[in-house]
Amino acid sequence: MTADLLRVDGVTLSYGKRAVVHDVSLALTKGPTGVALVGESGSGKTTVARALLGMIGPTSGRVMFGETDVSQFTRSERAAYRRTVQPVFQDGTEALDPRMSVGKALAEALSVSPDAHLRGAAKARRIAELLDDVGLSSGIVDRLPHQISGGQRQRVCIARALAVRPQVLLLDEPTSALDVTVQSKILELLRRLQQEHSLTYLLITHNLAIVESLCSYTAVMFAGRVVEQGPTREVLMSPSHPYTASLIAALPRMGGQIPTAVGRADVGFADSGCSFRMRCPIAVDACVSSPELASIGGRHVSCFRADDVMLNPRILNSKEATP
Amino acid sequence: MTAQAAPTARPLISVRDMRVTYGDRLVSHLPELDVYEGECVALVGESGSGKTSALLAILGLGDFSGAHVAGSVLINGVNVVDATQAQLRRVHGTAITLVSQSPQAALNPTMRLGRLAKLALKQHGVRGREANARIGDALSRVVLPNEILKRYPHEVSGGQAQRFCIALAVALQVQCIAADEPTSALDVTVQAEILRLLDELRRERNMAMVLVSHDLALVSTLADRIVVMKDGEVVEIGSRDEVLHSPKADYTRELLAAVPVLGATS
Repeated sequence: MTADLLRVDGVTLSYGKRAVVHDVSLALTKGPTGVALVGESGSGKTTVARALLGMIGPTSGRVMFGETDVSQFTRSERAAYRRTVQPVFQDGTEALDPRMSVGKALAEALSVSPDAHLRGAAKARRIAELLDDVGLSSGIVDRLPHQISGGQRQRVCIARALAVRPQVLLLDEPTSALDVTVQSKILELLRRLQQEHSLTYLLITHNLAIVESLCSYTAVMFAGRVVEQGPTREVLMSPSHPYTASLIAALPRMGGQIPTAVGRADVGFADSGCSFRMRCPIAVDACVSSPELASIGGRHVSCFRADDVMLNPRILNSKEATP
Repeated sequence: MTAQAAPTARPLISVRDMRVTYGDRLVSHLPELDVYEGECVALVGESGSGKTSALLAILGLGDFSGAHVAGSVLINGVNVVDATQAQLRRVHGTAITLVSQSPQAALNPTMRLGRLAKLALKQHGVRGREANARIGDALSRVVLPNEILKRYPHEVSGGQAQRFCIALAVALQVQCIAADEPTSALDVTVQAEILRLLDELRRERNMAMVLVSHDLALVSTLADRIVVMKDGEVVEIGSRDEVLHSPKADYTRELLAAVPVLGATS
């Protein structure tokens, strides 16, 4: 009934008794496409990715791979799933075994891939092909992770993920440890690979400016909840949740004014009702109860005042809006 | 490569041919830089560009990490490159103070913030009622509640810790803040508040700022002048508008092109 490749269905995730992700739903379709999960530290982005990798089971809701619940997998289904969904982390230094050469790291990944039967020259050819695909020369195979640059390490991590011929890459802050000139090259690479291999990306990042180039859909998380989700362009160009608006307003723009702080940033979040209300410049009495994620203007938003924000974004900055 | 600024004013900081070396390796070289009151000068570059080494050397702290600093950095008539500990302490209490990237790491974890603040002021001869008054004023200026003084560094958020470090600079009434990536460990909404605060202090108190950052977009919102560094050398120095709108160095153009821009594809 659905073409979703991977679906997070009303998932709540807890560490011990503490729920850190509440009722999140997301769908990843067949590539080339991308979904971005944005929000500040502690918002639950990475925990959602951990659930997708099967590293943490939901306390309620389901993670669905096609028509199968990920928690109901048989051993072989799980193995197949782990080939379909591959993670790429922030820091190639930590993600790679320091004692393993680039060639060995890729060979290890190949041994669990559909190309596991390859031997000798054919295997070497496949490794060279993978390296070439991420813009590295095969001369790098004998190097250890510490003997190559941060950008090269991240390329090796991407090549390793591609070795098992995945359909989905979970990119957790894939460029935030890199210099900007390196970052722009890695983004370019990810863009090309997304098209060439019809990949689906789940991009986790705090950097809104890199979202648009890889993801057509964006979910904004705050305090473990999705507060706004929809087509990237709409969410980022005309945000309707005050938190999304505050994230965008806070981005420094080249040659622009000092970024504005919408509401108050450093005051934590509310445990009940709208979790953003302590920071929100336009909170009203109703915000002590929890707003539902409702459909408005082509996206889903959980804010009682989303209509007001859509109609007149400037209310967020006006003095009378400040409680 | 000269600094443009009010010709009558005397620079607060005057750097001449400053070289930071580890053994034979030159890691940072600033041929000439003058920083005037109320001015924000940013050192921008990628990792390994020598921007932080330059900042530490300007603070007179260059040799702490085993580096050797040559040349001169005059702050209030003291050459911090070969100053005595006593001279350096005076400079740090009155002229320039460091606000670092990881505020929590910069604060002694075994002391409550109140004791830390008092110690910092005592180091520079401010005690008793005067110290309390200055701390109270500084906290209200950076919008922190007084009760934060009862907390330990790990009991406050990263943004609050950074505000507290800035409050110390305010309480010491220093003329210049040396800020090393002051917001890169913070969430972007908290970053915006800290940047506002730094900018307001500059305007209200004519504080100067030497800002080190990898983030050219961030720097471009705050700095009057920008020094672009690469591999230990200055590749370009100019006013914000010169650097952003008519960059001379290829590397500056490369940096400008690499910064991701929201809405670039629409």
